[in-house]
Amino acid sequence: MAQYSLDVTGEICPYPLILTRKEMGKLQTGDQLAVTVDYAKSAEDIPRWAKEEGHTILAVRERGGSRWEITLEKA
Amino acid sequence: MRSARNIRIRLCMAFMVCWAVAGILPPRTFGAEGYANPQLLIETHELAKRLGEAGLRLVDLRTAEEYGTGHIPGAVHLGTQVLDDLKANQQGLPIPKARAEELFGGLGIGETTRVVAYDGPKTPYGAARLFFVLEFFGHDKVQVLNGGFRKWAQEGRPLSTDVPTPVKAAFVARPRQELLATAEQVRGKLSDPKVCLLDARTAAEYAGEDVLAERGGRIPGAVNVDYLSTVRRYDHTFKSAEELRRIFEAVGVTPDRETITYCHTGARATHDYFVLRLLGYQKLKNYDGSWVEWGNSESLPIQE
Repeated sequence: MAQYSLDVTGEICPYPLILTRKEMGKLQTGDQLAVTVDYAKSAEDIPRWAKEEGHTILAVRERGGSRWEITLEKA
Repeated sequence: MRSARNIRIRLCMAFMVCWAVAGILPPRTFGAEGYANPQLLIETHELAKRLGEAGLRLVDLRTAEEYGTGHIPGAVHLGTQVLDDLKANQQGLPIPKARAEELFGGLGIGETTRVVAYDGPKTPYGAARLFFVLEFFGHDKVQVLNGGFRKWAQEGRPLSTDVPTPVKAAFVARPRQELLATAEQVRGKLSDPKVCLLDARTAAEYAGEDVLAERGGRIPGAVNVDYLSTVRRYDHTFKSAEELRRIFEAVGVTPDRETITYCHTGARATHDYFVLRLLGYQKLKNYDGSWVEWGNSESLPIQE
Protein backbone atom coordinates (compact mmCIF):
# COMPACT_ATOMS: atom_id res chain seq x y z
CA MET A 1 0.00 0.00 0.00
CA ALA A 2 1.36 3.40 -0.98
CA GLN A 3 0.20 6.87 0.02
CA TYR A 4 -0.12 9.72 -2.43
CA SER A 5 -1.37 13.27 -2.27
CA LEU A 6 -3.06 15.59 -4.75
CA ASP A 7 -3.55 19.33 -4.37
CA VAL A 8 -6.45 20.68 -6.45
CA THR A 9 -6.86 24.01 -4.66
CA GLY A 10 -7.83 26.83 -6.96
CA GLU A 11 -9.64 24.44 -9.33
CA ILE A 12 -13.43 24.32 -9.64
CA CYS A 13 -16.29 23.00 -11.84
CA PRO A 14 -15.56 20.04 -12.33
CA TYR A 15 -11.78 19.80 -12.40
CA PRO A 16 -11.09 18.73 -8.77
CA LEU A 17 -13.17 15.61 -9.42
CA ILE A 18 -11.72 14.98 -12.87
CA LEU A 19 -8.15 15.31 -11.58
CA THR A 20 -8.95 13.04 -8.60
CA ARG A 21 -10.45 10.43 -10.91
CA LYS A 22 -7.38 10.57 -13.16
CA GLU A 23 -5.01 10.17 -10.19
CA MET A 24 -7.04 7.29 -8.72
CA GLY A 25 -6.83 5.57 -12.10
CA LYS A 26 -3.05 5.36 -11.74
CA LEU A 27 -3.13 3.71 -8.28
CA GLN A 28 -3.13 0.06 -7.25
CA THR A 29 -5.82 -1.53 -5.05
CA GLY A 30 -5.24 -0.52 -1.43
CA ASP A 31 -3.25 2.62 -2.28
CA GLN A 32 -4.39 5.81 -0.58
CA LEU A 33 -4.82 9.28 -2.00
CA ALA A 34 -5.18 12.44 0.11
CA VAL A 35 -6.86 15.16 -1.95
CA THR A 36 -6.73 18.79 -0.80
CA VAL A 37 -9.57 20.98 -2.11
CA ASP A 38 -10.74 24.49 -1.34
CA TYR A 39 -14.04 24.32 -3.20
CA ALA A 40 -16.93 23.28 -0.96
CA LYS A 41 -18.85 21.55 -3.74
CA SER A 42 -15.83 19.34 -4.46
CA ALA A 43 -15.66 18.38 -0.78
CA GLU A 44 -19.19 17.06 -1.37
CA ASP A 45 -18.93 15.51 -4.81
CA ILE A 46 -15.54 13.76 -4.56
CA PRO A 47 -16.65 11.49 -1.66
CA ARG A 48 -19.98 10.80 -3.44
CA TRP A 49 -18.17 9.83 -6.62
CA ALA A 50 -15.67 7.68 -4.68
CA LYS A 51 -18.50 5.84 -2.91
CA GLU A 52 -20.24 5.23 -6.24
CA GLU A 53 -17.02 3.77 -7.66
CA GLY A 54 -16.59 1.47 -4.66
CA HIS A 55 -13.53 3.20 -3.18
CA THR A 56 -13.28 3.61 0.59
CA ILE A 57 -13.57 7.11 2.04
CA LEU A 58 -11.12 7.03 4.92
CA ALA A 59 -11.63 10.63 6.04
CA VAL A 60 -12.94 14.05 5.09
CA ARG A 61 -11.21 16.59 7.32
CA GLU A 62 -11.65 20.36 7.41
CA ARG A 63 -8.23 21.94 7.36
CA GLY A 64 -9.26 25.54 8.07
CA GLY A 65 -9.18 28.44 5.65
CA SER A 66 -11.97 26.74 3.66
CA ARG A 67 -9.78 23.74 2.85
CA TRP A 68 -10.66 20.08 3.08
CA GLU A 69 -8.52 16.95 2.90
CA ILE A 70 -10.30 13.90 1.52
CA THR A 71 -8.50 10.59 1.97
CA LEU A 72 -9.55 7.76 -0.32
CA GLU A 73 -8.47 4.14 -0.59
CA LYS A 74 -8.60 2.56 -4.02
CA ALA A 75 -10.89 -0.46 -4.38
CA MET B 1 4.67 24.91 -66.81
CA ARG B 2 3.16 28.39 -66.61
CA SER B 3 -0.31 26.81 -66.35
CA ALA B 4 0.78 24.64 -63.39
CA ARG B 5 2.20 27.73 -61.67
CA ASN B 6 -1.05 29.67 -62.23
CA ILE B 7 -3.05 26.82 -60.74
CA ARG B 8 -0.78 26.81 -57.67
CA ILE B 9 -1.19 30.60 -57.25
CA ARG B 10 -4.99 30.33 -57.63
CA LEU B 11 -5.15 27.48 -55.14
CA CYS B 12 -3.06 29.49 -52.71
CA MET B 13 -5.35 32.52 -53.07
CA ALA B 14 -8.46 30.36 -52.66
CA PHE B 15 -6.98 28.86 -49.49
CA MET B 16 -6.28 32.32 -48.06
CA VAL B 17 -9.85 33.43 -48.75
CA CYS B 18 -11.26 30.28 -47.08
CA TRP B 19 -8.92 30.81 -44.12
CA ALA B 20 -10.12 34.34 -43.64
CA VAL B 21 -13.80 33.48 -44.10
CA ALA B 22 -13.49 30.59 -41.61
CA GLY B 23 -12.61 33.14 -38.97
CA ILE B 24 -9.01 32.10 -38.40
CA LEU B 25 -7.87 35.68 -38.86
CA PRO B 26 -8.51 38.06 -35.94
CA PRO B 27 -12.19 39.15 -35.91
CA ARG B 28 -11.59 42.90 -36.11
CA THR B 29 -10.45 42.34 -39.70
CA PHE B 30 -14.16 41.92 -40.47
CA GLY B 31 -15.61 44.72 -38.39
CA ALA B 32 -17.77 44.82 -35.26
CA GLU B 33 -18.99 41.66 -33.58
CA GLY B 34 -22.63 42.72 -33.48
CA TYR B 35 -23.40 42.08 -29.80
CA ALA B 36 -26.56 43.63 -28.34
CA ASN B 37 -24.65 44.49 -25.15
CA PRO B 38 -21.05 45.20 -26.26
CA GLN B 39 -20.52 47.32 -23.12
CA LEU B 40 -20.24 44.09 -21.11
CA LEU B 41 -16.88 43.41 -22.73
CA ILE B 42 -13.64 45.34 -22.72
CA GLU B 43 -10.88 44.73 -25.24
CA THR B 44 -7.24 44.36 -24.15
CA HIS B 45 -6.14 47.55 -25.96
CA GLU B 46 -8.90 49.54 -24.22
CA LEU B 47 -7.94 48.19 -20.80
CA ALA B 48 -4.27 49.00 -21.46
CA LYS B 49 -5.26 52.68 -21.79
CA ARG B 50 -7.33 52.61 -18.58
CA LEU B 51 -4.85 50.94 -16.23
CA GLY B 52 -4.47 52.97 -13.03
CA GLU B 53 -7.71 54.87 -13.62
CA ALA B 54 -9.51 55.97 -10.41
CA GLY B 55 -12.63 53.95 -9.67
CA LEU B 56 -11.51 50.94 -11.68
CA ARG B 57 -11.07 47.61 -9.88
CA LEU B 58 -9.35 44.94 -11.90
CA VAL B 59 -9.99 41.38 -10.62
CA ASP B 60 -7.89 38.32 -11.55
CA LEU B 61 -9.93 35.10 -11.35
CA ARG B 62 -7.10 32.70 -12.12
CA THR B 63 -5.51 30.45 -9.50
CA ALA B 64 -3.48 32.07 -6.70
CA GLU B 65 -0.36 30.41 -8.09
CA GLU B 66 -0.89 31.90 -11.56
CA TYR B 67 -1.61 35.33 -10.05
CA GLY B 68 1.62 35.13 -8.03
CA THR B 69 3.77 34.57 -11.11
CA GLY B 70 2.49 37.71 -12.84
CA HIS B 71 -0.79 39.52 -13.40
CA ILE B 72 -2.15 42.61 -15.10
CA PRO B 73 -0.81 45.63 -13.16
CA GLY B 74 -3.17 46.75 -10.41
CA ALA B 75 -5.24 43.55 -10.36
CA VAL B 76 -6.36 41.95 -7.10
CA HIS B 77 -6.80 38.20 -6.86
CA LEU B 78 -10.09 36.41 -6.22
CA GLY B 79 -10.34 32.62 -6.24
CA THR B 80 -13.42 31.47 -8.18
CA GLN B 81 -14.14 28.87 -5.47
CA VAL B 82 -15.28 31.59 -3.04
CA LEU B 83 -18.01 32.68 -5.47
CA ASP B 84 -20.14 29.60 -4.86
CA ASP B 85 -21.79 27.98 -1.85
CA LEU B 86 -24.11 24.97 -2.06
CA LYS B 87 -26.06 25.78 1.10
CA ALA B 88 -26.64 29.35 -0.12
CA ASN B 89 -27.67 27.96 -3.54
CA GLN B 90 -30.45 25.98 -1.87
CA GLN B 91 -31.76 29.26 -0.46
CA GLY B 92 -31.66 30.94 -3.86
CA LEU B 93 -28.32 32.75 -3.48
CA PRO B 94 -24.92 32.18 -5.12
CA ILE B 95 -23.18 32.97 -1.81
CA PRO B 96 -24.60 34.37 1.46
CA LYS B 97 -25.49 38.08 1.28
CA ALA B 98 -23.28 39.02 4.24
CA ARG B 99 -20.38 37.13 2.67
CA ALA B 100 -20.87 39.05 -0.60
CA GLU B 101 -20.74 42.39 1.24
CA GLU B 102 -17.60 41.41 3.14
CA LEU B 103 -15.88 39.93 0.09
CA PHE B 104 -16.61 42.67 -2.46
CA GLY B 105 -16.27 45.50 0.06
CA GLY B 106 -12.87 44.08 1.02
CA LEU B 107 -11.81 44.21 -2.63
CA GLY B 108 -12.68 47.91 -2.70
CA ILE B 109 -15.83 47.46 -4.78
CA GLY B 110 -18.38 50.16 -3.86
CA GLU B 111 -21.48 51.59 -5.50
CA THR B 112 -19.60 53.47 -8.24
CA THR B 113 -16.65 51.11 -8.79
CA ARG B 114 -16.20 49.85 -12.33
CA VAL B 115 -15.06 46.23 -12.22
CA VAL B 116 -13.07 44.52 -14.96
CA ALA B 117 -12.83 40.74 -14.51
CA TYR B 118 -10.43 38.43 -16.28
CA ASP B 119 -9.54 34.75 -16.13
CA GLY B 120 -7.13 32.34 -17.82
CA PRO B 121 -6.98 28.90 -19.44
CA LYS B 122 -7.18 26.96 -16.12
CA THR B 123 -10.38 28.70 -14.97
CA PRO B 124 -11.89 30.01 -18.22
CA TYR B 125 -15.29 30.69 -16.62
CA GLY B 126 -14.00 32.74 -13.67
CA ALA B 127 -14.71 36.19 -15.11
CA ALA B 128 -18.26 35.21 -16.11
CA ARG B 129 -18.84 33.78 -12.64
CA LEU B 130 -17.83 37.08 -11.02
CA PHE B 131 -20.02 38.94 -13.53
CA PHE B 132 -23.00 36.78 -12.55
CA VAL B 133 -22.47 37.03 -8.79
CA LEU B 134 -22.04 40.82 -8.94
CA GLU B 135 -25.07 41.16 -11.23
CA PHE B 136 -27.07 38.99 -8.83
CA PHE B 137 -26.17 41.29 -5.95
CA GLY B 138 -27.14 44.39 -7.93
CA HIS B 139 -23.75 45.67 -9.14
CA ASP B 140 -24.04 46.38 -12.85
CA LYS B 141 -20.74 48.14 -13.56
CA VAL B 142 -18.88 45.02 -14.61
CA GLN B 143 -16.97 44.19 -17.76
CA VAL B 144 -15.26 40.97 -18.82
CA LEU B 145 -11.87 41.24 -20.51
CA ASN B 146 -12.28 39.73 -23.97
CA GLY B 147 -9.67 36.97 -24.33
CA GLY B 148 -8.67 37.27 -20.67
CA PHE B 149 -5.13 36.93 -19.42
CA ARG B 150 -4.19 34.63 -22.31
CA LYS B 151 -4.73 37.36 -24.91
CA TRP B 152 -3.18 40.06 -22.75
CA ALA B 153 -0.01 37.97 -22.33
CA GLN B 154 0.01 36.86 -26.01
CA GLU B 155 0.11 40.53 -26.98
CA GLY B 156 3.16 41.12 -24.78
CA ARG B 157 1.39 43.65 -22.56
CA PRO B 158 2.85 44.62 -19.16
CA LEU B 159 2.68 42.28 -16.18
CA SER B 160 3.35 42.82 -12.50
CA THR B 161 3.90 40.79 -9.32
CA ASP B 162 2.97 43.70 -7.03
CA VAL B 163 -0.05 42.90 -4.87
CA PRO B 164 -2.28 45.96 -4.35
CA THR B 165 -3.92 46.60 -0.98
CA PRO B 166 -7.45 47.79 -1.78
CA VAL B 167 -9.12 50.44 0.34
CA LYS B 168 -12.27 48.90 1.81
CA ALA B 169 -15.52 50.10 0.30
CA ALA B 170 -19.15 49.78 1.30
CA PHE B 171 -20.70 47.10 -0.91
CA VAL B 172 -24.45 46.93 -0.41
CA ALA B 173 -25.81 43.62 -1.68
CA ARG B 174 -29.25 43.89 -3.28
CA PRO B 175 -30.11 40.31 -4.25
CA ARG B 176 -31.95 39.89 -7.54
CA GLN B 177 -33.38 36.48 -6.74
CA GLU B 178 -35.12 36.29 -10.10
CA LEU B 179 -31.65 35.57 -11.61
CA LEU B 180 -31.13 32.31 -9.75
CA ALA B 181 -33.17 29.12 -9.85
CA THR B 182 -33.34 26.46 -7.15
CA ALA B 183 -33.86 22.74 -7.84
CA GLU B 184 -37.53 23.00 -6.88
CA GLN B 185 -38.06 25.93 -9.25
CA VAL B 186 -36.37 23.99 -12.07
CA ARG B 187 -38.50 20.93 -11.35
CA GLY B 188 -41.61 23.09 -11.49
CA LYS B 189 -40.74 24.26 -15.01
CA LEU B 190 -39.78 20.94 -16.61
CA SER B 191 -42.86 20.72 -18.78
CA ASP B 192 -43.15 24.45 -19.54
CA PRO B 193 -42.57 25.00 -23.30
CA LYS B 194 -41.67 28.64 -22.66
CA VAL B 195 -38.67 27.55 -20.57
CA CYS B 196 -35.43 26.23 -21.95
CA LEU B 197 -32.88 24.36 -19.83
CA LEU B 198 -29.38 24.94 -21.12
CA ASP B 199 -26.61 22.52 -20.09
CA ALA B 200 -23.13 24.09 -20.38
CA ARG B 201 -21.17 20.88 -19.68
CA THR B 202 -19.30 18.75 -22.19
CA ALA B 203 -21.24 16.60 -24.65
CA ALA B 204 -20.04 13.48 -22.77
CA GLU B 205 -21.34 14.75 -19.42
CA TYR B 206 -24.63 15.77 -21.05
CA ALA B 207 -25.02 12.34 -22.67
CA GLY B 208 -24.32 10.56 -19.39
CA GLU B 209 -21.12 8.97 -20.74
CA ASP B 210 -18.91 10.93 -18.36
CA VAL B 211 -20.51 10.46 -14.96
CA LEU B 212 -19.38 12.86 -12.24
CA ALA B 213 -22.17 12.31 -9.73
CA GLU B 214 -24.17 9.40 -8.38
CA ARG B 215 -26.18 9.51 -11.60
CA GLY B 216 -25.15 10.50 -15.10
CA GLY B 217 -27.25 12.25 -17.71
CA ARG B 218 -29.09 15.54 -17.84
CA ILE B 219 -32.12 17.36 -16.56
CA PRO B 220 -35.09 16.15 -18.69
CA GLY B 221 -35.50 18.24 -21.84
CA ALA B 222 -32.21 20.15 -21.43
CA VAL B 223 -30.21 21.14 -24.50
CA ASN B 224 -26.43 21.34 -24.62
CA VAL B 225 -24.02 24.16 -25.52
CA ASP B 226 -20.58 23.36 -24.09
CA TYR B 227 -19.40 26.70 -22.71
CA LEU B 228 -16.07 26.43 -24.54
CA SER B 229 -17.85 26.32 -27.90
CA THR B 230 -18.67 30.03 -27.49
CA VAL B 231 -15.06 31.25 -27.64
CA ARG B 232 -12.41 31.12 -30.33
CA ARG B 233 -9.70 28.56 -29.75
CA TYR B 234 -6.73 30.72 -30.71
CA ASP B 235 -7.21 33.55 -28.21
CA HIS B 236 -10.36 32.73 -26.22
CA THR B 237 -12.20 35.83 -27.42
CA PHE B 238 -15.96 35.49 -27.79
CA LYS B 239 -17.29 34.43 -31.17
CA SER B 240 -19.28 36.97 -33.15
CA ALA B 241 -22.94 37.59 -32.35
CA GLU B 242 -23.93 35.92 -35.60
CA GLU B 243 -21.97 32.75 -34.81
CA LEU B 244 -23.26 32.67 -31.23
CA ARG B 245 -26.90 33.17 -32.24
CA ARG B 246 -26.53 30.32 -34.70
CA ILE B 247 -25.13 28.03 -31.97
CA PHE B 248 -27.89 28.81 -29.46
CA GLU B 249 -30.82 29.01 -31.85
CA ALA B 250 -29.84 25.65 -33.38
CA VAL B 251 -30.73 23.99 -30.07
CA GLY B 252 -33.82 26.10 -29.43
CA VAL B 253 -32.36 28.70 -27.07
CA THR B 254 -34.18 31.79 -28.32
CA PRO B 255 -34.73 35.21 -26.66
CA ASP B 256 -38.50 34.72 -26.34
CA ARG B 257 -38.08 31.74 -23.98
CA GLU B 258 -36.84 31.87 -20.41
CA THR B 259 -33.44 30.17 -20.26
CA ILE B 260 -32.10 28.43 -17.17
CA THR B 261 -28.39 27.63 -17.41
CA TYR B 262 -26.69 24.86 -15.43
CA CYS B 263 -23.56 22.70 -15.48
CA HIS B 264 -21.84 20.50 -12.88
CA THR B 265 -21.46 23.04 -10.07
CA GLY B 266 -22.92 26.19 -11.63
CA ALA B 267 -19.70 27.94 -12.67
CA ARG B 268 -19.37 26.94 -16.35
CA ALA B 269 -23.08 27.69 -16.66
CA THR B 270 -22.46 31.34 -15.83
CA HIS B 271 -20.26 31.52 -18.92
CA ASP B 272 -23.24 30.58 -21.13
CA TYR B 273 -25.34 33.00 -19.04
CA PHE B 274 -22.84 35.79 -19.78
CA VAL B 275 -22.79 35.01 -23.50
CA LEU B 276 -26.60 35.19 -23.64
CA ARG B 277 -26.47 38.55 -21.80
CA LEU B 278 -23.96 39.72 -24.40
CA LEU B 279 -26.49 38.72 -27.08
CA GLY B 280 -29.24 40.67 -25.34
CA TYR B 281 -31.29 37.80 -23.89
CA GLN B 282 -33.30 39.10 -20.95
CA LYS B 283 -35.10 36.10 -19.48
CA LEU B 284 -32.19 34.36 -17.83
CA LYS B 285 -31.55 32.42 -14.64
CA ASN B 286 -28.66 30.29 -13.44
CA TYR B 287 -29.34 27.05 -11.58
CA ASP B 288 -26.38 27.20 -9.22
CA GLY B 289 -27.08 23.85 -7.52
CA SER B 290 -26.55 22.22 -10.95
CA TRP B 291 -25.61 18.57 -11.47
CA VAL B 292 -23.84 18.23 -8.10
CA GLU B 293 -27.26 18.72 -6.57
CA TRP B 294 -29.55 17.31 -9.29
CA GLY B 295 -27.48 14.23 -10.18
CA ASN B 296 -27.03 13.35 -6.54
CA SER B 297 -30.71 13.69 -5.59
CA GLU B 298 -32.60 10.46 -6.25
CA SER B 299 -35.93 12.27 -6.01
CA LEU B 300 -35.19 14.47 -9.05
CA PRO B 301 -35.88 13.07 -12.56
CA ILE B 302 -33.09 12.64 -15.08
CA GLN B 303 -32.79 11.87 -18.76
CA GLU B 304 -30.02 9.44 -19.82
